Amino acid sequence: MRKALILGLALVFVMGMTTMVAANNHLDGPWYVDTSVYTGLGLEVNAEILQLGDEDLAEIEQHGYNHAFIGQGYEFTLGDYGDSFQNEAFVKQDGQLNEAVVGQRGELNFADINQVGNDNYAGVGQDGDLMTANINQDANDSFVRASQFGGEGSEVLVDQFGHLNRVRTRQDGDDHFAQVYQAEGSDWNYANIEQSGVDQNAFIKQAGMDNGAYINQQGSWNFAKVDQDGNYNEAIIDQDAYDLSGLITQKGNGNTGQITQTGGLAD
Amino acid sequence: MGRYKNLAIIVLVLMVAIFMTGNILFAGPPEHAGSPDDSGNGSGGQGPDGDGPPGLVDEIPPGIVGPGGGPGFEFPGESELPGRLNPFIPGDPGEDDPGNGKPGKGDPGDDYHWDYDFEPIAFIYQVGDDNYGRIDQHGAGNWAGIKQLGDHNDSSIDQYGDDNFAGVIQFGHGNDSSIKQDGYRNFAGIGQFGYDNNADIEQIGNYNKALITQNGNNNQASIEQNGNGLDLDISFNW
Repeated sequence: MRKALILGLALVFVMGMTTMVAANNHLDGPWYVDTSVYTGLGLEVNAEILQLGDEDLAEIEQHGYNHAFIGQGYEFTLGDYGDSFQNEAFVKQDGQLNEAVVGQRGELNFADINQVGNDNYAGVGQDGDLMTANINQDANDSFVRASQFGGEGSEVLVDQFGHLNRVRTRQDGDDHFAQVYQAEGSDWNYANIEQSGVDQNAFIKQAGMDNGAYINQQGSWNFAKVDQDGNYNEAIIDQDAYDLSGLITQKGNGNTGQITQTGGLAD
Repeated sequence: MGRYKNLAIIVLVLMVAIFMTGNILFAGPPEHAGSPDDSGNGSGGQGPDGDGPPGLVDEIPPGIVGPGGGPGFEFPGESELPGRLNPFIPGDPGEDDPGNGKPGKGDPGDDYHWDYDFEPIAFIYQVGDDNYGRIDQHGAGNWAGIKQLGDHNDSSIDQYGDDNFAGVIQFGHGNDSSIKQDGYRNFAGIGQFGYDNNADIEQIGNYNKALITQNGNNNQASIEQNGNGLDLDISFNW
């Protein structure tokens, strides 16, 4: 009987390790989680920081086969609603199959994801004003998605330096800014920027093989730019209304550029 | 006493279990928490309310309403996570073609912070082979420009509306160009300096002008105007 209980205890322990929750914070205050103690055990480690408050700081650092999630200001806990003000979320991952997701709601929130390894994924969802998503990947098979909604003055910055990288961003509101940079021997990149609102900017810069870029802007006073240096590149800018601008610069082979504009501001 | 000992062990086990899986009890959608390691093969095609990213959030965040009152932004579905990567991206080049495997040129990123020094209303600048450029414009006050240096270039500009201006300049081989304009105060110019060039301008409207300059071999030019205040200029030099 006692042996069975001990065995069960060990089993519960191992099962707990595979879905480890490193932090679960409903209160204000900084949290730092480092799951590198589990590196080498061959386990999937799941770290989460949930915060509902203002001026919180969340940091997750992982080495291995990891998942990370930081939620600030959402309804992450049952029955809790509310925005979050001036929070910062940092995720740093180095390993295989790293996945990081940051969700923020409120004003002046900042998300930073730094991934080095293979098969990384970085996702940022933000709802509010003056939000920033900064994603940096030095990896293979990476994928980035950043979505910003509901406010003014949000920006997305992405760096990628690996293979088969892709970026998809979406911004809805005014005064947005998006920037994607993919280079350093990277193949098969793709970048996507969609913006709707007033006074937005978008940049995509690519170097390498088989790149593609897509910018779609809907609204007024938008500005878009694509710069490609490589082979088999393709760039498409699709713009909607007043005083729009577009620029496609391509250097390489097999390039295609396409700008479609409608609307415009009369003299 | 032995009874209480067994009870204490059971309570201990339960406490450890609760501790190790605390998120199940305290955070997140209970039906999804604790299952981040689902080895989905990406065939699900889940929508915004499908499977979520690891650990949490498989749904639209509360209070977020997308444009048109529809759902807000999509959180990444589990089918889009790496390892089972099959993201849906409009205009995506697709996964059939993994590239040709050649190393990229790389970029030190020293000009990562880009200049904001010029704001064109549609401009395409291409240096290379097999280039193709196209600009569509529908509106007022538009202008467009395409500059191509390379081989097998092709360019096309369509404009409808007011105050349009379009210009194409091509240096290279086998170039082809076409400008069509429709509205008010249009002007168009094509300059070709290379081989096997071809140029075409078609204008319908008021105050139109057209200019074609060709300096190369086997050039052809065509300007067709239908409107008021027309002007025409074609020059060859070969």
